[in-house]
Amino acid sequence: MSGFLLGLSLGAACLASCAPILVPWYLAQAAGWGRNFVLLGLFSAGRLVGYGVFGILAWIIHPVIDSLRHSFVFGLIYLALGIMLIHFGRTQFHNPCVSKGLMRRIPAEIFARPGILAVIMGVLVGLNLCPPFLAAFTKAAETPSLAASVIFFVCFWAGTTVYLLPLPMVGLFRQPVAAIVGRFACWIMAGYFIYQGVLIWVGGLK
Amino acid sequence: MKNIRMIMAYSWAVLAVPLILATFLGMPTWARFLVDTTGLKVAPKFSGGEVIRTIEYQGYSTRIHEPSFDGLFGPCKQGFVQIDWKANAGSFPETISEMIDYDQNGTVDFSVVIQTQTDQVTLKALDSPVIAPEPLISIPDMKILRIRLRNP
Amino acid sequence: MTERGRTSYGCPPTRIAWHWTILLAVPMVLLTAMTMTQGQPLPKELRLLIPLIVSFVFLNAMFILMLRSGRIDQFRSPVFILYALGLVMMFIPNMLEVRGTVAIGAEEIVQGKVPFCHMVIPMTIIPAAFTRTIIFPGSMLEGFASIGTMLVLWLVVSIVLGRGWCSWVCFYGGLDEGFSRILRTPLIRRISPTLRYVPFAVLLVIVLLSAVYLTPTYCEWLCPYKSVTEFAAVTDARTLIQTVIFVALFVGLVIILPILTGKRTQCGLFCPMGAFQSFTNKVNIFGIRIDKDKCIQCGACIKACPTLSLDQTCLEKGSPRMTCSKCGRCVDVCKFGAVSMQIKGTPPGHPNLGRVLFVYPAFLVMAIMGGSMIQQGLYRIILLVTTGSLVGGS
Repeated sequence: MSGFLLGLSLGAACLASCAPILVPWYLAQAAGWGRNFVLLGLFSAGRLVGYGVFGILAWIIHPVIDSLRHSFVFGLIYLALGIMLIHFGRTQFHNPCVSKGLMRRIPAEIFARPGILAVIMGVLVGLNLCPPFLAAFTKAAETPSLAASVIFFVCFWAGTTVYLLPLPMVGLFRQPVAAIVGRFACWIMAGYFIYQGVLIWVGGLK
Repeated sequence: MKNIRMIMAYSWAVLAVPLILATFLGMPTWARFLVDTTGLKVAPKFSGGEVIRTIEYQGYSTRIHEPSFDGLFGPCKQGFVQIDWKANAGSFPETISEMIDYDQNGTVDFSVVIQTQTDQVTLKALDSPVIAPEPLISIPDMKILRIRLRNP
Repeated sequence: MTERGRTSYGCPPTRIAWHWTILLAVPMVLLTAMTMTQGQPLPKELRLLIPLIVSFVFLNAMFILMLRSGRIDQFRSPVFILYALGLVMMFIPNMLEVRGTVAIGAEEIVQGKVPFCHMVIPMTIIPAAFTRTIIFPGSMLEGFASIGTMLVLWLVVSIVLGRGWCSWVCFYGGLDEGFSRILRTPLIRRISPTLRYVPFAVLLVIVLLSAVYLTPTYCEWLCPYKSVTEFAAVTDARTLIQTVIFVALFVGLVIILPILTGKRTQCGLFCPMGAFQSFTNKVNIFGIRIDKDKCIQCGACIKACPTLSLDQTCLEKGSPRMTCSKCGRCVDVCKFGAVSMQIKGTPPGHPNLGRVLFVYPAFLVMAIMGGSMIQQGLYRIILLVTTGSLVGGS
């Protein structure tokens, strides 16, 4: 229960963290709000996986988590998110063409199917150390067992997900123009995430 | 109906010039009206927040701002408190040494010592929410220090 | 009220007779005299008097020619370009005099001494709605370009002119417009129409990020005009990166691309304020009308539009896209009189009435804002010639 309440109390910040990713993405999908809810479900499932992983980590390695904030791993996560958004925008302009360049090794289905992409983005977002997440991590690290830690994170996830529920309504504005704007916005956001990732890599200028 | 629409459209178009003139001529009044009716203020992140206490010393005064933890939907996990020192007669004593209770709970939160010639700051946190000082901002007659805080 | 004019390319078929022109110009002459002198006696010092008289005569000459000729853009553009140049010439020396540097230091930020600029407005809306604060280090009411003043100005001009703001009021727009007019024949003629949506994407991203971080993201990271006004003092790697971005965007979007394409690339392909301002066109009374009966689909207006707001579908629809900044270039280049400034809700057939009713308030705002900028810019040039320095003087 305390995890859920913590999620509810800090979830607005999750909305602030996730909206810049989800809104451009929804616009670019040009899907209706119903389909957006399905995608949000998959995205949230991805987040749940990310949170679950952290539930385990919180119990095992909580003493070193603060030093991880500026580590190679989190820089890499930002970069991965950025590259995914760039590629998403590109495949939306031209039909999926993942047989080219660096993306050759990634199965085409991942980018052709928004559902899979939603899950992956959810996992990556779930693996980010945003302020509410750190608060949850600190609390979870104090729990007596692994199961309690994971349950805490699941409840925290449920609390924060409440705030993401209005976002699929972006689908009410679906238009071809909005989709183009969304794709460009994905690229700009990708630039931002790559910048964050590089900054973390080169020495925590953040 | 068409005629009414046309008359309204032309009237609106003709009114544009007086509207522009009235705006420029009464600009200070309109600006004050807008600010007063909306209650808008500069975000504490930039302004430092409201001054909640002023302490007068010989030669200078200390102004303590309201601690700020501003976030879009509510308070953030981290914030800051801003302290200003204002010289009354144009110059500060060589050293300013002060114990600050920014939340006015009767317990000193941190002590700060400023060497006013070199702007060197020594901060000693006496309460857990105090994280660290930001660089001292020095302007004529004034020293401004922000101290980062954890939201208790 | 009108007489038949030439019908050669670039000349609208109607122009206003001289007696009407003079009659219409008299109020503008009086209003500009009042605003430029601010009700004070003329200055005795020549360095101040010459810029005042030159800018007064220039503005009114342009207005009279605009009324008489039936053209809008031909006489708007020189004023708009000099307005922007005047801002740069005035702003930088002024900052050097006031604070000794054009760089914004932490001192200016905490003291709320940064002049507010309209570019910030879209980013302030969400934080203002939720926190009732403005995320900008300026002053609400005091000093030069206070937040309250700029918000009032923006609100009223948006109601009156809509996105006309971008071609008549914005003090930066004249820079890329000036560069876009350097080459008579652009070297790059094909610009992907999809790029027209980039400003809306930039708007979406900066609005969201500004709401998340409660800082004006565009001003911190993306504004090309920081290069010619003021920017954060370079004290660390972060501010260095920001400055490199400002300069690169300025060189690319405000100088090189406008020269190569002949378009206002910063305004039409990047500026989030322009995108935001486009929405005010929806609630604005003035607009461009394309008479489908007169239009022969020659495409001259499409080629001429500096913000890519016209395409074939617009000609079929009879109106430009919502991004139209009402510069009037399409009106000027249409030799068949098919394109005109209109008042929405009124019947077609009175092109001059619509034009005069739009041009009057639009030019008035430009003259009030730009007049003082041009005047001060000229003063700085005279100061440079007479003393060898842009700063100092009275």
